Amino acid sequence: LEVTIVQKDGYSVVSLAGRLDILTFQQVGENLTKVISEGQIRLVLDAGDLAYVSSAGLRVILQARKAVKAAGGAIAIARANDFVLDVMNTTGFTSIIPTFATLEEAEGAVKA
Amino acid sequence: MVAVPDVLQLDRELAAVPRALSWIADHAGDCGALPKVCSILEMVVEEVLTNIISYARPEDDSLEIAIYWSEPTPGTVRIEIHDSGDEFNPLEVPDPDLSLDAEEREIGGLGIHLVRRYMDHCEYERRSGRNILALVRRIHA
Repeated sequence: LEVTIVQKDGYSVVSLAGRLDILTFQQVGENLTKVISEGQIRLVLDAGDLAYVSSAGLRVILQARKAVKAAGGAIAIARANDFVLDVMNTTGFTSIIPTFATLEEAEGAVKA
Repeated sequence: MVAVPDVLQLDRELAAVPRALSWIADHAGDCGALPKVCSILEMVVEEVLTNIISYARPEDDSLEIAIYWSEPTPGTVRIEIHDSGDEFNPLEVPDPDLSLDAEEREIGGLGIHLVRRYMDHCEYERRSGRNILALVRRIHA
């Protein structure tokens, strides 16, 4: 799994490419913790190239959501595929973390 | 069609998970499962294996895990996961409260909730010192 972080004006885009599962969740969690501790608390998770997610991956996203909320920030998910979106719906995640079809909409949702 | 179950034996290590998932993906691809169904089958197997590997007693070096793949009828797959760990029926784990907000939410039970939710049929049985979890699903919907 590849994590790419791009700081923009007033928010950051964290792109996840590959599989977010039991083997990669720690790596993603460490990246997100680092980004948030550096003060980047308005995050768009770009799931455009995220092929797969399991509950281990959902856990990491939920932790990031808690951390940014606690710091007064926001988080949104963009461009998740059918499978990822379906898993998020099934687990009630979509009622906690907003999901958007495009990056632009997600960026609009997290900007201060 | 795979009428006689194909079997994959696994050791107790995290590396067993990707091995199992690529085996599942190969079978799912061979039987023409939709890409989304292929991901679903991988996910449920990941959840079950992760549970078995994390919750087995640490001193239990002899833990044996085996996965069986079969297609009992056209368009249906049956995956059985056998393990020699302590008796444990994952289907009895209560569903997490999905209505709670993120701050209060319990993380546990999410994996098995996904398994139950995505499979058409799940059954558990304890036989000959093994936990046997059978998962059945259509592959074209």
